[in-house]
Amino acid sequence: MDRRELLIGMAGGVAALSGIQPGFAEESGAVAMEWGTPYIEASRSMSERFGKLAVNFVPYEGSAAGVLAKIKATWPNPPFDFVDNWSAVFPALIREGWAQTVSVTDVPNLADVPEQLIAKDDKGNWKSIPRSKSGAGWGYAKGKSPIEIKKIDDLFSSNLKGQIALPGPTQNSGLHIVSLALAFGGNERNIDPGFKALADLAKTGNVGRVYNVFSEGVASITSGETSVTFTDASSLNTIAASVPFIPVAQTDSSMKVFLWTEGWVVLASSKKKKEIFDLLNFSISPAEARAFNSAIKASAANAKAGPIEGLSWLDIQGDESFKKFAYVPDFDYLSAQGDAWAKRFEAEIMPLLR
Amino acid sequence: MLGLAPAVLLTAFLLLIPLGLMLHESVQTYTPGRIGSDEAGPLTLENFREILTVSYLSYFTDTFLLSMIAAIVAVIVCFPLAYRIARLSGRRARAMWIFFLMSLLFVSALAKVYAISVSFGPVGILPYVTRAIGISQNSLLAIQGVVIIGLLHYLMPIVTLSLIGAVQGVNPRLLDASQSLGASQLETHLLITLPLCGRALLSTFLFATTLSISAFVIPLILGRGRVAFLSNLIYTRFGEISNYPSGAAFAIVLLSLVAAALACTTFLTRSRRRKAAA
Amino acid sequence: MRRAIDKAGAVLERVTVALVCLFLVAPIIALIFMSLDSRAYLAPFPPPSLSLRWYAKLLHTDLLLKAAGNTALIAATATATALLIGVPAGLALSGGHWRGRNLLTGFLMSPLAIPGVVLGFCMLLFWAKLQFSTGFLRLYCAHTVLTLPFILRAVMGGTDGLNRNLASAAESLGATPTRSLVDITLPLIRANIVAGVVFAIAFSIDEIAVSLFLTDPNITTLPVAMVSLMRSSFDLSVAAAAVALMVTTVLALLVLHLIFGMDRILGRGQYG
Repeated sequence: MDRRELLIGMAGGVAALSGIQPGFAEESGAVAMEWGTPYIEASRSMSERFGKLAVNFVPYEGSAAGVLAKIKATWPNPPFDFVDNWSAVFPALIREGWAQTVSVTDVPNLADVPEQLIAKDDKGNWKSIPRSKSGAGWGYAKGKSPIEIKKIDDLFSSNLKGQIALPGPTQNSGLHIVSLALAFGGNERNIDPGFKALADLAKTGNVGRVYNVFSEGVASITSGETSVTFTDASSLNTIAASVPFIPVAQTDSSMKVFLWTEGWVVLASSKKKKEIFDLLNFSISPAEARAFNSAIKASAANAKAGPIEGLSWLDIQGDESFKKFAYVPDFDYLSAQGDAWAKRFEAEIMPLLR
Repeated sequence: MLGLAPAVLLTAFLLLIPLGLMLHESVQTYTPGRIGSDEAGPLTLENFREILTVSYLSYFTDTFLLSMIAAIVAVIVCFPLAYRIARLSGRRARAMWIFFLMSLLFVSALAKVYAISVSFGPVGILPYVTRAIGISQNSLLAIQGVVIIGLLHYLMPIVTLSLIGAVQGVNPRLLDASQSLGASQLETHLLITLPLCGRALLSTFLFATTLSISAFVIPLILGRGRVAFLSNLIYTRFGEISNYPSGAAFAIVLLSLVAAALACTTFLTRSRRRKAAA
Repeated sequence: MRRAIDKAGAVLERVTVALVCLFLVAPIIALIFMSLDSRAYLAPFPPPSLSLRWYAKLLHTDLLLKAAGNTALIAATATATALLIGVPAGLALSGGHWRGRNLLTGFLMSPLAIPGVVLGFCMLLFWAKLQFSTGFLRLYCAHTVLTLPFILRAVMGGTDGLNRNLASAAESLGATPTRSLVDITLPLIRANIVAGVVFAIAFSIDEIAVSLFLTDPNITTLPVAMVSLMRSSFDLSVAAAAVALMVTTVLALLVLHLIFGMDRILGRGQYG
């Protein structure tokens, strides 16, 4: 046996052992974009229980807004049929004409979902299938953070050097900047106070990391690198599974909790709309909505699904409390600010973090 | 000649047309809230003007300064190793070394970056080192240091391999002659080896710098969002905010800078060859 | 005095070499340990206890297994295409000095010099304009253009050191140019071409910045899947994947080394 035979033999052996096959999605199934752990597992088990449509759930590579670029690059034949997304990205999907209109006829379980949760176009057509109500806010790792965080001023404390994991400007569509703006007299339409506060925060030296994907922020807290961040309910739950992590909610009106809707958008280009509507109708049925939202830690959009445990910080009752401790921004406006805010962050804030 | 046709046609089709499209995209208008460029909008140089403002200076300095530091350090510390390997007499030992370097070269860049982030990052030795020199592990200096370490780890095998070739080009008899005439080893190195390898050192340095400037994954993972290279900005323009025209403008600027660096390298290697031929 | 300086120099050299090796190897060893970490999240080194849980999880991560298959498929098809068009092109380019030869060589080699992100971005714009493509087509085309320079360089490097007289002798003895090419030139540069193929495949398997723009949900490559896993989840299965990839590459190299001898590819130089 000469060397060449040896090589071919070994290569064949390796290939056979590894059992690796090139994978193309089966032509019969559908393809969906989904967030990573724990969302993608929840989606997969939901679709397995449905059993009538094979769905390949693929995780987003970066933020959920990143999917817009991928659709743009391949429209009118994008390689996926539906996406899981949230309030801040729905307007862009609708503006570009990519979102398929839905109705109670297509998805009967929408009847149990409060109508104000459904994303609509200018003409009032329904464009999304709400799955969850979720939110975000500031929080800190108890025991790791040198001080307890109670109000926005605490972020600027000199005891907090390098302790803040600051979301990048595109994270949560910049809600943390809106949070700073609100505390200093602005809002999403008057963002200047937010950027001014962000600049002051950068100058304190309290920012230890800027993260552009949520998993990086989670790892930063669990590894002990930083101890304070602005995060969504699902990431917060993931952090809390490894280190004690306290959301700052209903403690001070300067630290508001932001609320939004998450849900499905079927792309107008999909050739399997009927099957997908059936699947998504199944997914928002009371029992399924309950299972899904328990897994990702969010409240179900379906009013009949009942409350999910461990989310009391998002559940702000009463008009007065709501006004004081919660905020729902104008997502339509917010969704057009990504470019301007990202550039402003790069130009005004990043140099101060040096 | 005919053999060239497929290669040239393919590269022209898959490289020149895309580059042309990118140039066109870089002068398009972007409308906030929309995805990609506004085809109906007027042509504009706004995307370039925006890049060349002072506020973006830090991205350029990070990209170039950190790349050059990493390249210089890599050339300096790899030279002794390259020299040692090039002068090894045993075939087996030499083969072992080359195999070692080649393996490192081929180990997935991603695996290496992850390895660095684990061993030199906040969960590795970084807290101890920063405490020892009295800076915070979250200070800019510490982050830049880790990015340089990542670049170094990526560059060192390539730099060593290309320096081995340069050292092999030095006639060992010259060194023997120098030493038999009474020069010390150090003098021989300073007076014979280094000057003879000078150009190779310089062109390797430039080559290493070009490689670092193009780095994407290293600053993405190790820069902790606070140190970002031009490559990372381009990706953000595409993936996060869908402002293609601005991304294209950044890409054109980066491309021109890399082309300039490469032109220097080529010039240096050419004149070296000419000299060698003379 | 001289001796002392020389001695100090020799010690310094040894220390540098030792430190370089330590620096190159230590992170990889740390990575291997981390991939065996029994904790459920990324936490300070060293792990308190070892387990194979991340490797077990790896085998159940469909995304990575499929991506590994795709990566192999793309590397193989792209390199084969590059070989098919690169060998004739390399031979044509090494045939003497003619006007525009350097320019053309530079042009064909340029994909390696252009930053990956730039290349990926402009190729994406190109396919978006065409409004017709599949993920595989995009990746296959990009990787063909990217691996072509390795084949070209290998062929040109091989013919550079070749005694042209051999081919002319064959032709003067009545062999057709094709005959002399097949019987004389190609066998002589075989080792170079093999080296080129190895480099091309290794490069393709590891490519990330270009592929990141071109993948889609139906087809993704291993490095892209690893980055997306690094960015979308928190666990250490990425470390396990990195180690698995590393071991595969080193094994493949070892086999090639045993067959062809890695050091011969680099040559010994004229004084070696």
